[in-house]
Amino acid sequence: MKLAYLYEKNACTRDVADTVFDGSFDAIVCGLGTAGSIAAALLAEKGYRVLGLEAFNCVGGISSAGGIEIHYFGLPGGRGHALAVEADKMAAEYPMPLADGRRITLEKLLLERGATVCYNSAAVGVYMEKDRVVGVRAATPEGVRSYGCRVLLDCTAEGHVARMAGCDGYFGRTSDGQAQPFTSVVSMTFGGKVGYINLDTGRVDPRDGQAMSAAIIDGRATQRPEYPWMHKVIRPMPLPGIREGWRLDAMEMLTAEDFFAGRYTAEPGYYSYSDIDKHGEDVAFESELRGDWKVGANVGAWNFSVPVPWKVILPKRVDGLAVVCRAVGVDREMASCVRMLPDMYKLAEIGAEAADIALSRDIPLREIPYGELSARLTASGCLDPAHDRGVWIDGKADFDGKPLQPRKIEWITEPEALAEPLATLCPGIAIWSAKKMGYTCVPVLRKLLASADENTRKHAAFALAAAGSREGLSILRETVWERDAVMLQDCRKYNQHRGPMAIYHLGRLADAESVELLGGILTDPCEVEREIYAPSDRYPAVRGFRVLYFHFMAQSVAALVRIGNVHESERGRIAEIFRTAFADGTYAARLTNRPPCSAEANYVRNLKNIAEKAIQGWSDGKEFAF
Amino acid sequence: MFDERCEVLILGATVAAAGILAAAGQKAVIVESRPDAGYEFFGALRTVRGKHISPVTEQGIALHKRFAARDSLRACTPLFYACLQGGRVYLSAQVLDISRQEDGFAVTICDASGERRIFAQHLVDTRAEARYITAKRLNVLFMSGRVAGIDLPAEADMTEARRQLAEKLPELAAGEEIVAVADEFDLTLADFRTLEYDGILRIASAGYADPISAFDAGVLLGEELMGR
Repeated sequence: MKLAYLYEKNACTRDVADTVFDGSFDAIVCGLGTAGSIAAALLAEKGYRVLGLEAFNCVGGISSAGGIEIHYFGLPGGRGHALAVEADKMAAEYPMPLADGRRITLEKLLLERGATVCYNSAAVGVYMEKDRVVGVRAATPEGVRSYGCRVLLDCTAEGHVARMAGCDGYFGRTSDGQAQPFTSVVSMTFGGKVGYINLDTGRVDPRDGQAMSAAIIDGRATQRPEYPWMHKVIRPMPLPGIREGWRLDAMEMLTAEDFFAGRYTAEPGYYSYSDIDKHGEDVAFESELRGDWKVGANVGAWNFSVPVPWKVILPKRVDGLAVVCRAVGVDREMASCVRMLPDMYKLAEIGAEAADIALSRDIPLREIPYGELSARLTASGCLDPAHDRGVWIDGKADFDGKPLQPRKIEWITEPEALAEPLATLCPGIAIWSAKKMGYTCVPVLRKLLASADENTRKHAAFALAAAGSREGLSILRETVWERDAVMLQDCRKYNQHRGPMAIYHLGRLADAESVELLGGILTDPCEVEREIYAPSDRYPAVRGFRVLYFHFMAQSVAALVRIGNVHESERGRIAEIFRTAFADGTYAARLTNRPPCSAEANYVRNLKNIAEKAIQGWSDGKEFAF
Repeated sequence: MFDERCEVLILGATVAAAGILAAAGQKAVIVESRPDAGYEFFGALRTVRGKHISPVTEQGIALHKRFAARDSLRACTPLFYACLQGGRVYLSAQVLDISRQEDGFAVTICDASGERRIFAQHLVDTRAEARYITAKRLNVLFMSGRVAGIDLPAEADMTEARRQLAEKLPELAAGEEIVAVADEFDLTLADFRTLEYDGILRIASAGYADPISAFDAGVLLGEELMGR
């Protein structure tokens, strides 16, 4: 037997042949958070001996000690969801915030079902027989203990156990390896009620213990005792709100590329339903798929349902282990929409049912028959074909703050039908439809370029670019030259301004004629004095961050990098623009006065970092990858 | 053999630990198993027990001034965290092993990065030891700002505390809305002054009447350890 553990972020093993377990269980659940508490309860309910190890002193994780009471999306259904609803109903009876009540009621449900719960206890190693997990080494209040198990569920949110076991995985975006900003959640009183707000604090790699500690401390140290839009802070919640972490290289992966290409899994476990969430302002440095969706077409806050393969919980090489948390096998785009509370309840149910089948038949998790699993999930409502809803505009409030009427999106398939939406401030459906149609829609769009209507002309140029055509380049340049600050209205939030959208398309088309135009945005110190960048209702000065100016700058950096990638002859000129723009800290001072540990300061630093990385790559003969 | 060295390794990211850090700076390392810090005061929703706070150290006096400008102890939480900024602090780090060396201690910890061996000349435990705890209280904060709690025996754990809280809620709340339940116990300790046994210095931060006094005591200990 070997003990697998982490050392300097790498998985290591050592022989531990003489280990005697302090106890043995059918299943051990590491992390009793949103998913882990439900998974442990479901397994205990089936009569298994279940040990739950929780690093903090309560169950519920981010949904209790993290202050995240609700998630805006995800779909109900299934036994796991029902259990969570049961806990919430009981908690609603208490005169306290739901997040506090959950600590009591989720724990009650767990203990009533016979699970053994160890608080202040965390996995620090994994016992393995060849490639099979057979136990856990845990730091507990009583000291370090070893427990044997037949199945181990990693519900640590970060895939901490899977990483120890040597499972492969992914982290961060391609451009600079960073994840979405994390949040320091605080509870506040407002209007006689308790509410929670997310204070985005910066970016951090949750696999890095020291960086994580520093980020938590910085985040809390910079909190204010009160905020203008609410009343007083009650307290910071003890758990940080990590939006994105490590992701498992699973037996079956869920990727946005497959989803948008219409390649769906044959073995779904449930349907996820959300938008591709994006909290960082520097979307310019995200993947091109996300850029096309969010910036190029301005449909980033549209929801869609996606069948999630049940095997996203299974590591490729390690048996006896399932990852039942945010760290499942998804790419970055899908990770941002497979992270809602209902997703965790459903993943918990899939993990518990899969473990039950494996334990009762004494077979490896990877060999359980999908037919039996899907029958169970369908019977409970976890896997419901009615949840295959397609694309929707959904949410509580629309772009103007008024109540949103949810509406289903049907993509346009006839080129002639593109004109009508392109004439409005909601051209997203036409732009993405044009992308799907490709060159077949170009003749129709070409005619629209000559339209006297500004919306039609400019949006047709966007649609042409999305379809891969360069015929609208001059209008795109004109849109940038004008610093067009019109904000489109396709989405309930995160709507794009036409200027940065035009820059994005110029970059995607690698338009070398735009180099001077884009360079001016970066290097002219008077650029910031333009009226469009002045603080407004949309971007109040209190944030200390000129968001629109930042978007113009960030998209210009990304576009110039794309142009340099394609046109080697332009690289010297672009490198000089970058050196001039980022020679000192004056560019940063024009953009923000937020503290260095803030998310905004991180975005601003990234401009320079991306530019420098691109220059370095080109000198090494490499293209910059988004 | 060691991944890191320090003059003093502090167990528990308590307020007293922050005081030691203020005196020792980069010569100190704090190791905390929880994801938060200062929980014995801030997480416990404690109110100040003593009326007169008289710090004696320069750092204690300065912190007291900053705290005094805020209208509640809870509002001072960011000021406390600011004391930890830039320090060598490991949150969510488990202690796996402590072994005595000829000239200090070898401490193995494990956090999100994995195992790490730290050599420390001095070891200070700022957490409350179970044997000195005489009583526990789980506090709740009401919308009005009132803090009340349920009293528990020293051996009670959080599960028992939550069970009792659910039972006694109607009486405790008396119709008022609770805005927060404490994350940690409000402890009463039989003895919390600096003690030394097994070569480990012990200063239980939770035993002090208020965070400034705990911080001040930490600074004094830190200065002593640094030979000032």
